[in-house]
Amino acid sequence: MQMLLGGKWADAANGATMEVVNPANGQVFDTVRCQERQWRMRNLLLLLQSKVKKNG
Amino acid sequence: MEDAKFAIASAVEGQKEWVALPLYQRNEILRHFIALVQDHQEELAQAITRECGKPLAQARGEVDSICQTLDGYLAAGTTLYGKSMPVFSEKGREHDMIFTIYEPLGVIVAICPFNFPLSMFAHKVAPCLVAGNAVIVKPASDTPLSAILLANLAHQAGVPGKTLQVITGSGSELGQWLINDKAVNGVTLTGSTEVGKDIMRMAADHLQHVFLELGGNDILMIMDDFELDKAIEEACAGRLRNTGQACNGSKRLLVHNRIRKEFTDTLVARLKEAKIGDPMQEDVEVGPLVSEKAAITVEHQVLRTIQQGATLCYGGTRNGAFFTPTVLGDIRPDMDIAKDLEIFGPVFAILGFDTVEEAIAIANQSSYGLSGGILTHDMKVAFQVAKSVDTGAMVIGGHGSYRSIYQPFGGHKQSGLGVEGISETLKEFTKIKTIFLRDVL
Repeated sequence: MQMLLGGKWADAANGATMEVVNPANGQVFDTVRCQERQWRMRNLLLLLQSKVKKNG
Repeated sequence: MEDAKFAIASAVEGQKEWVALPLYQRNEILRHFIALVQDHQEELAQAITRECGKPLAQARGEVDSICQTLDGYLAAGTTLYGKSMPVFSEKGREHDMIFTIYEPLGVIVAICPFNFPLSMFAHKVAPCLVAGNAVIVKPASDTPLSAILLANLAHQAGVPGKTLQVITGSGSELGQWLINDKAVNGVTLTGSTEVGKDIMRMAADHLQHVFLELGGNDILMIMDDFELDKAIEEACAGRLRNTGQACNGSKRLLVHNRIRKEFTDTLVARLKEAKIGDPMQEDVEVGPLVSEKAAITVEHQVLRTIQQGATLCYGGTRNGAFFTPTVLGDIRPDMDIAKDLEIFGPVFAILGFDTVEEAIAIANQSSYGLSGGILTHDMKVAFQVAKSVDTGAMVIGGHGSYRSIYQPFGGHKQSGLGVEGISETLKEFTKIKTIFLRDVL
């Protein structure tokens, strides 16, 4: 997950990350959840990055 | 800490860049932003549902409301008139012209809650931007994605990247770094009363403006003259909205003792029919809570209330982040839940009463005072209750988990400080300046 700081996509300075969990399936299908979350996060990140405004 | 410092330094530049644009140009950008939000409505709604568990129909409603909120603040910004003082009036000031203008506060930190991640984003960011401020948004740790998506759309529309930023992380750490900086001029929070008080203490060092929308333990009072089926639907709408996670949810149901048993039985029967499940499905009424941790907290609070003597009429079970709609009966006014125990989940607490005075006393024994509702056809009783219950709003003829984007929304007592809404908030994010023209008359 990246932040929007100073007009750019930014990682945390200390490199820390946090997980975003879908509460609806977070506990029920553990393995599916991991795969699905990785899939979702990757796609969401691509989606977000495709929308970065050049002069942000 | 480095991130917070960087964000603040950027915001100082971003504010200058933003306010250098005349209002009509800023408004053009914000109009473009509204159009982009409308184009991405479904994507934003699904982002809310995925990270917060809110049923999709409600998430769509939330996205729709933010377009109206933005639009309303745009309009309000064009009429932010200053005042001209009476001329030729005051001894020694007969020859002066004196008038006021509104200036932006500067850099605002907006701390948003998980339960309405985009609605609160809009209620904070829109007035900040229209008034010419820079904003650093700190979304809730559980729900950062929708806020980032929304901020990104604002950037695409032309809001400078340094004017609107999103920083994520733990609220207790980041909050401290963001507020303990004299370059920050205001903090707006929707969150718990405890966090609100911490923020106010921190803000004292630099005398920052503080706006707090905090917790509640609101009543829905039901008199025996009101149609039972309508009362049940109002109670469900007031308590199940966002699966019970609303600051102004109908958390204490005050039901006249003549109808209490029938009301309880009918409510239980109604909740047995409630569709619980995947919030992405169209017809789901009750989704999961925001996290398993949140559901465990609700479970503990329900157990504590039962230990204090409440009767479990229905529900009380948890599965992961899902908590079954729960009805607790035989609540006495001395129990925690009848006063300040705010349960953020689908829990109906039923308290009986015999007289209107008794009900008002129970309502007012809470330290909170956000909103509330009264169901009766006796307008005299309705006005008496609406006037006597010490809250920021009262709804006659419906539940109190009800809000207008225009109203001055805010709590009395421990429920908040300042108000949020198109009729009021723009001025809260500005500072007033008086200008004297000496000896011109």
